[in-house]
Amino acid sequence: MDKVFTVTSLNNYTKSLLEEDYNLADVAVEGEISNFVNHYKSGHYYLALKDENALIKTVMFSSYNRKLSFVPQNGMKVIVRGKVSIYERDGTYQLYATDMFQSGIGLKHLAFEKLKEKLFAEGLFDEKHKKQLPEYPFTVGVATSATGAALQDIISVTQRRFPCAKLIVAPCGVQGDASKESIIKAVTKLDNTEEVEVIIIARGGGSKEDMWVFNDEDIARCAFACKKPTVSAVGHEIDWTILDYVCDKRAATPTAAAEIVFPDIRDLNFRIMKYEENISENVKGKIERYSEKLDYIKNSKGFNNIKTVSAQSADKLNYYHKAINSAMEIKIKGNTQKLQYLADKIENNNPLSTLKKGYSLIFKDDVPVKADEKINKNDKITVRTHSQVLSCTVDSAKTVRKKGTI
Amino acid sequence: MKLTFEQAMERLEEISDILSTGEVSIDQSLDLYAEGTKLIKFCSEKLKAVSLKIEEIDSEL
Repeated sequence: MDKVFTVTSLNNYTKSLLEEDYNLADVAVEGEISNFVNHYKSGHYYLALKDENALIKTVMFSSYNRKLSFVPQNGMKVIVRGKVSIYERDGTYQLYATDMFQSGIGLKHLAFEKLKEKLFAEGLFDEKHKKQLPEYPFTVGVATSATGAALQDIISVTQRRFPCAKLIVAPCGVQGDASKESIIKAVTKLDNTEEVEVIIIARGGGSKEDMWVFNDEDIARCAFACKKPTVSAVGHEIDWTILDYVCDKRAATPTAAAEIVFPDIRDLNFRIMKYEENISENVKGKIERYSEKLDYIKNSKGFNNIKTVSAQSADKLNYYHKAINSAMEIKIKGNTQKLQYLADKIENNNPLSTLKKGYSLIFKDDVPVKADEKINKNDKITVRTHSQVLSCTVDSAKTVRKKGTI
Repeated sequence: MKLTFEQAMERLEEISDILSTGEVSIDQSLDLYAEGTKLIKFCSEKLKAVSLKIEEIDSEL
């Protein structure tokens, strides 16, 4: 004995010894509650946990006891989860509770919480592992009881929302520990069935005890290992099972699961109809604009002049006009090449582009000169080139020999 | 690679957007029109079935 402790340092030392012990860092202790005090100010719970022979002081801070679904009472049998340590000021050795369960169902819940923490720590619930559901699943696998209400609910929602789908049902048991193997087999089978795009694991109503099998670790790992996205529909509105945490999506009921998985065919048909409208309206609009352009050209002064000079070319243009109108019909059949050919033709026959090429128009008394009209010496004529209007007097006039005449 | 319904819907949306902007030649418009018409037919065919198919498989096999 070569050192004298102060009381504070002694308590500090023993506290650190206790806290170093891994086994005491997270213990579950079963006992009966006595001397229960709910501190009126802080909201912390103080109690003693005892059995026939011994007791341990226990404190549960308000940050933890707030989450309890029941209020502890003296004489109540409970399982307390927490760590063992020392309250230095009083030198009291005590249990610092983090959770509390009523005995009986308590054990199961404790196991549930432990498994949940374990799988959470392993990352099985991580958002980064969550697979995205396909937007339009045409083949969906369902692992459920072949005779249960869950399957009927899924069928009726699917028939209403997406009747073009196919459901592949892998029947399995859905309650009691005996159904565990059949659930794993059904899910695995669906995951290995190539055409299946999503897997729904479903269970109809029933008590909390009935659904307990879905808190099984092996089922959780099986769902996690699935290559395909999974949707759980086995719990209750408020009670989550381990499977709910592992699956890519969680639905409160089988009906909700089918609603999450399937798009509404009415929305889809409406969207397709809108695309159809939009596409054909736009193409039609474009063709109409071309057609208007053609009308404009046809009615323009330049064109009318040419028309009188060469009725032939007018006929040609009329022909093209008709052709493009009928091409509007052809477009329905997707005859794009023909239409493009016509569009090019129209561009080439623009009379203004004729002037651009170096041709000229001749007017006499403001009337265009026709092909066979005679112009005599000393006549006053007007010549329209692309860029100028020329007033001229004819110096001499000769008739051109036509081809095929002498 | 077989065209999926999802891809077809995406492409339809794309075509619809391109045509709405109007910044395409008549040649391109008509090509897109032809493609769009085919896709619409493809998608509508896929949604045509009115009665749900249900198949049961044996997990033991």
